[in-house]
Amino acid sequence: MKKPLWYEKLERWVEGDSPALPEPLAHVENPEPVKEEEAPVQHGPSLLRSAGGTAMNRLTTAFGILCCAIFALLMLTTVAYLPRFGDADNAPENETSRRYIEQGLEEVGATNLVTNIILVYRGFDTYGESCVLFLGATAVIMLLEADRKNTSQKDRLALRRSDALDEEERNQILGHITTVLMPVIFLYGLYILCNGHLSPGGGFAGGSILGGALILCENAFGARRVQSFFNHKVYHIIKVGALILYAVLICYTIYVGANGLPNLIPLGTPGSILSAGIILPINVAVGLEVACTMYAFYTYFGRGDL
Amino acid sequence: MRMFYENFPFFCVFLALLSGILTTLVRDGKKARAVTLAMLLCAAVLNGAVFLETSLRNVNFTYAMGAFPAPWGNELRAGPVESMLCTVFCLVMLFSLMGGGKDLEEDILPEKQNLYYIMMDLLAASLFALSYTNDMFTGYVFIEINTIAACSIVMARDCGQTILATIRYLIMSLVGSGVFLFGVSMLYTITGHLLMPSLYPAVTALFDNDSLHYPLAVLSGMMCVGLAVKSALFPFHTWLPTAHGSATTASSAVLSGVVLKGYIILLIKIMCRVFTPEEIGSLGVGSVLFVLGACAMIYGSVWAVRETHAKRMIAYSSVAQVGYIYLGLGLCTPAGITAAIFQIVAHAFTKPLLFIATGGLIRASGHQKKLYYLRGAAWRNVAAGLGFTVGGLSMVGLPLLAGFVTKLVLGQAALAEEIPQWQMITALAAIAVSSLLNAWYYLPVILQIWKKEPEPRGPEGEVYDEHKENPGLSFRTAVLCMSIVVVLLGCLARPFVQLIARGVALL
Repeated sequence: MKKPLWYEKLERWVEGDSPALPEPLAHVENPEPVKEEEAPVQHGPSLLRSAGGTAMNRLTTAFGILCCAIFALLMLTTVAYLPRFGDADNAPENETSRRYIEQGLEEVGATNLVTNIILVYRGFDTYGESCVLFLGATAVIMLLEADRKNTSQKDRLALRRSDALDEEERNQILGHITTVLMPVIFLYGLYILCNGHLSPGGGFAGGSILGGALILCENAFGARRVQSFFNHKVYHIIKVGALILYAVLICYTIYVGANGLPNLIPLGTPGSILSAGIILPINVAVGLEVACTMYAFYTYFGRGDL
Repeated sequence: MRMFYENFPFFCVFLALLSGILTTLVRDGKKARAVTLAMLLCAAVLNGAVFLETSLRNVNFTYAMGAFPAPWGNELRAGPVESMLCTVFCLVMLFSLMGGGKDLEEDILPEKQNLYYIMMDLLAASLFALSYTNDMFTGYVFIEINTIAACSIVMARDCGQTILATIRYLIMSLVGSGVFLFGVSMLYTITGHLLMPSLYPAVTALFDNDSLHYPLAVLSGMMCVGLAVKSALFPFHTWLPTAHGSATTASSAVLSGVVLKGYIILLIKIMCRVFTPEEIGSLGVGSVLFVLGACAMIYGSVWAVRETHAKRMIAYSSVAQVGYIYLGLGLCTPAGITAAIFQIVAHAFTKPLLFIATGGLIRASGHQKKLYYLRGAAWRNVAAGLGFTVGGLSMVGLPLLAGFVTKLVLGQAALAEEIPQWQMITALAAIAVSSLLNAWYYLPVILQIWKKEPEPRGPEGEVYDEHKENPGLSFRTAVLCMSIVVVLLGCLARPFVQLIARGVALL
């Protein structure tokens, strides 16, 4: 039975790329169609890509430069309107910074006023920032941790061979100097960590010194030596423990502060090592988190494992 | 003394953050999944409670994060709109994870599944914080968290295509956050504040000074553009189709249903709480958003028409749907913002429904993603077919479904007296053309998937077994729940729109 014309038209519309149409599409004639996964990523209009590579590329580059120039012009003209840096009557010299400077020591208790601001006045933001670190490390592990998709047997053998080679020809000078320097560096890192509420420094600075020390260790003595005291288990325990400790302290402070309850953590005498309430433990927690993250970045990029 | 429910927004943020951190210790993907689902359910209940309390009393409240209120410390602020959107986000994420569970197990290596759920937890935390924040810098911090987590859930399905898509997404996203940060730091330089309640009077005072209109226009433009890049407004959408089209089903659903919206809520809060909508309109930023929104509505649909890959077609349709939101925002009136928020909710349920349903259809068709091979797939997975039909018809704008109400409310907002003539005509024309195009690409697919083929065949001539694929209970529940919500939004439109309008007045 012959189909009416309108029905045929409707059918063609519905069947869009149907091979039953008079002009069959390539993927039906081709016994092995291009698989979606391996296909090169198609982005933007295919029209543009087919219209000749180099001329189009040049045009895109020119357009990009034009956009950047316009943006730069916009920024430069705006800067002219902004107040001069350091003037006494600038907008940021207002009741906010005045209270931070004048009452910070009394209200929060750390002689390092910057620490007061980042860890207590704006503590929620800083907790967010340390979660960014945690998230960054997790994303790197997700991408780079050796698994069957991103590492072949050959890669693994090559890594083991280069490890063995390193083990044989260890750099003697680096090893000896590191042995001497290591305790000093660790001590300095810990000092910056624990003294963060009294002098410039704190968790982020001290943590990166500790992380740097771990990286130096790995270079001087090999990954296996570091793994003997810093393996997956230790890494996870330190990382999670530090963040949980931080979360508990900050949650307590927020909850108590927001509900007008008395804060039971003593502030101590300003200037002494055990003072400033939650700031000292938070600095230690942040420092451990930063050290772990730095070392994890380094080893996962290099070896795909801790 | 503060009411106890006022603590709930703070609890939600930390609940999500802590469950993410603790999931690191859970190496088993199944347990990690249970933790995440439980967290989302708890957060939905808590946010729902805040929504009920604030909307019944018609109030909103500020919650100082610590002993120091604005302008010294961080603050959260919750009202009916924020809490409603957070509840919606929790539910959508829950349904997406339920519906995409099977694909997830296949696409992501078992030893890395727990990491995927960590990303989901932190994504939820960042969405809560972005909605509830009363502080520009907290907004920026959680934009960063959102960016990393969103890129990671694209990357989780570790194949060449997703890695490329992630790189493009990451670069565009970082450009967006950078531009937003420029805007925030300029705002701080000329006002000296970061908290919205202190910024509002400062900005109002600056408007009286004519010489400062230029930097205000530049910085508000930068903040809007930064957030627009991240929410894939045309012409900054180029990263979206590959990222959403190649990720695993649950990621696609969460990204287009929820992640894009988090930034838009921050934008709405900036528009209403730092500036006023009229100020944004008078600076010209509103018109730019309006025009880009109208372009997106048409451009996204045109590309969706040309697409033969099922998930990428839906991804292009997201570009168009984001355009609807910006069209509403660009009108710079409370009615326009109400329409935008309605579209956020409608799209937050419809698009994940479409992605999950398409995932089911693709699974029932031997993992073939070309539309051609999906013919008859609805009979192989009836739940998915029904879900796709409801979602697709809602996108087309069939009355009784959510998409129709969006178009209606948007049209009403454009017809209001204070809207200039050109905006009214452009808005109506964009809605008309976009609806036509939506019908053009959704209807054939809906008809195709319900077409009964005597012997459905794959590319190599293999026959799909009609009863081989059992989509599972959680898939069916997720699709059913989201379909019901789409229908309910379409049927109970009036009270819901009134509720949003009351909430917008409180912002």
